[in-house]
Amino acid sequence: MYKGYVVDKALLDKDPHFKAGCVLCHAGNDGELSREKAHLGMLKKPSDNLRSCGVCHKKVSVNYAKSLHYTTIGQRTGVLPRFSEAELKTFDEKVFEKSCRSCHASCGDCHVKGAPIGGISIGLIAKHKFVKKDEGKTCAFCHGGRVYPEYTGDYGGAPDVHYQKGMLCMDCHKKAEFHGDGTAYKSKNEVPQRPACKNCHPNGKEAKMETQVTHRRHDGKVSCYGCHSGSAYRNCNDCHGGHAAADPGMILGRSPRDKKVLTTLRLIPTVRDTFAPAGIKMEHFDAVPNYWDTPAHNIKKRTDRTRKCDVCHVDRKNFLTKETMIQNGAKANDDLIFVPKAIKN
Amino acid sequence: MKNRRTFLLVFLAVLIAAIYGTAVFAATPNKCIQCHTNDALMKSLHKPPVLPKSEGEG
Repeated sequence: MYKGYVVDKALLDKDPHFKAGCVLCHAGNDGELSREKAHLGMLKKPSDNLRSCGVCHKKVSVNYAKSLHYTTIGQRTGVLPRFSEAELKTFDEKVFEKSCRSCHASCGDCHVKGAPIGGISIGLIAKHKFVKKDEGKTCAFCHGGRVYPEYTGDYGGAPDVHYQKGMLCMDCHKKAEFHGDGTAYKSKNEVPQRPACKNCHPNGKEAKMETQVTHRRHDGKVSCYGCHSGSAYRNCNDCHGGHAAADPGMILGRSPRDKKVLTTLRLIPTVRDTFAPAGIKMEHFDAVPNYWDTPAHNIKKRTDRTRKCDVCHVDRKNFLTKETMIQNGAKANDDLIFVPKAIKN
Repeated sequence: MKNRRTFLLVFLAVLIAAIYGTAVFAATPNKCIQCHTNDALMKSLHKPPVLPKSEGEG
């Protein structure tokens, strides 16, 4: 049954959001029955103007205006080292504002109606109820290319152990991370509220002594994902094809953000000609790699790697090498190659 | 004295207009909800989206 824009009549009396009528937020003309006349001047997404919600939710809306979901500046931060000054200007005008920024989420996208992705929208989340959260209809819709299906196992890999235990996105990613704290962070990596495995699983609290020793030995050298990513995960190029071939897989290498740390890497979709249609050559394309460190959302307590040291230290399974690297990639990719040491007896 | 009477008249006029206006506003049916609470009607008005031939997102 189609429920796209059907409003629950029962909500109208009990929810204060509806007290002043539809037009307070949506404008248009509530005295007209003709579809065209009623919708004349109507705002489909009133929360695109954060001040609409800010009338009552002032602090949240002021902070949210600087949050990464709203600014989408993280996408710009990741790619900007590849551009010359002139190219960055073109990127900002032709690409960022017109393409990347169109993906920003405003209040209603999480609390009222699923965001339209690729022309498809699920419509109202719960008949225009202002919901606190509904990850399967909101997070999953925008992050449905890789993260969410990776987490639930719908992508084809093993579901994340946290999902199997009944946890959803907001059990780790807290409200403060989404609403922001009023600081305009440039990347998700700067956000202090972002989740960390150690918040719930601190070193030294493991049940087995052997596990404690292993964790201590690898602490600061290997990320948790490096050993606990349970299966192959989707790389961006799996969907954003046409630029280069990529299959689902696990890639282990040095983190581009901290070369001392071995972690799971994900092949990103930016290749040499990505912005050619906008006239951007990417003069400094080689400055940053085609792989970013990635928090794989397919965690398992036990994996091949946690069972046997040989998987890394002898077989070197899934490690990035010159041979497995993307063709015609950035020169910076070479810096991510990590060769694990053999174990001394 | 004349000023006081004028003020009283203006005040009464504003008061009546406010009360009458509110009554009129309250009596005006919100026609948005006539359609938007009607499942069958909304379904009949739905047009499936035409998907753009662009790459996937997510």
